[in-house]
Amino acid sequence: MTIVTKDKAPYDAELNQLLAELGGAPPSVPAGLTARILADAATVQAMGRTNAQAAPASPSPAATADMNSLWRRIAEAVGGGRVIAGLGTAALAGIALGFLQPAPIEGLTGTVWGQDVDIAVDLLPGTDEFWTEG
Amino acid sequence: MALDALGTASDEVLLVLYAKGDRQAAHVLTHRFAPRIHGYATRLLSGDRAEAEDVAQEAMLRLWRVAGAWRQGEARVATWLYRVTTNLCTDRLRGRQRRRISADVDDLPNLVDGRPSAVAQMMQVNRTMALEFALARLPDRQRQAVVLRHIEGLGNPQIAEVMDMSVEAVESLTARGKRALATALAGQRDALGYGDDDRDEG
Repeated sequence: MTIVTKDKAPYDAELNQLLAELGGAPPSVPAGLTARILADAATVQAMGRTNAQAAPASPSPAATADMNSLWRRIAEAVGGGRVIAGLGTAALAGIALGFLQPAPIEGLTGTVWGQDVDIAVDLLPGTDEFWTEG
Repeated sequence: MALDALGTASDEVLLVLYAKGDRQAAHVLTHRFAPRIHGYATRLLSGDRAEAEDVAQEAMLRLWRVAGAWRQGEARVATWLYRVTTNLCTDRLRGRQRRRISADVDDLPNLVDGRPSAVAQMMQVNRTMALEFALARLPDRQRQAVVLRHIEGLGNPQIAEVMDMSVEAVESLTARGKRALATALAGQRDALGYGDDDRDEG
């Protein structure tokens, strides 16, 4: 064995050797630990919770950024977010009035037109002859 | 894939196979890494083997979860695992008052596996105890660097990646750690097995 001078620290090479001896004898792993690690592996695998498998459930950050960019460009083209909000509200109100036809609106149309108006439009007048036998 | 073939596969390939549902890949990875990260965590946590078990299990769990997103060529599995283990141990060391070293000494001989019997074994236990004792008394970062370099056998660039610092900083940290170790061991020459061979030079 290498000589070590009294009252001095072991030389560097000897210290390296001692440390390497520790590395050469890794501690045994408790059996329970191995079993728990493998159980975790099986659970993650069975639940499909690895990152790649979970990814389709939520959009990637890049996809979200693309969508944000698209909406921002549309808003800028129309005149801003408030304009889009106003247009959306007006569209919803129009649809609601058309379906519900509240009494005040019917009264208003009667006042304007003076009588009930039925509008019949034959969009495809030329097809009648096809339905006539003979 | 056959177990023999898996045994020679790279860590990264095994991780990809695991993500694709290969259970044998998980076995091989566990047997390849669990002893290393458990031993590493045990030393970082100054011999607290129960806490080291928790850390090793958590580190491996994180590996399973990240498997599907693993990008080959960007990181090595070993480096990633050492880094996660280091961070988990650091969190635990910060979260509690470190135990007194004397309370852990009884556990230290258990860090080695079976050895040749009688005197040689006793000598080995003494060496191990002395060294583990001195390691446990190093500052945390110095202990991490010394253990990664000289016990786990990582290169300085890999340690720099694990510890998130420059290679130069790793070299400095390792050198300081070894100097502190040498100083701590200077008074324990008998325990280290140098007593019989010791003689003055000249």
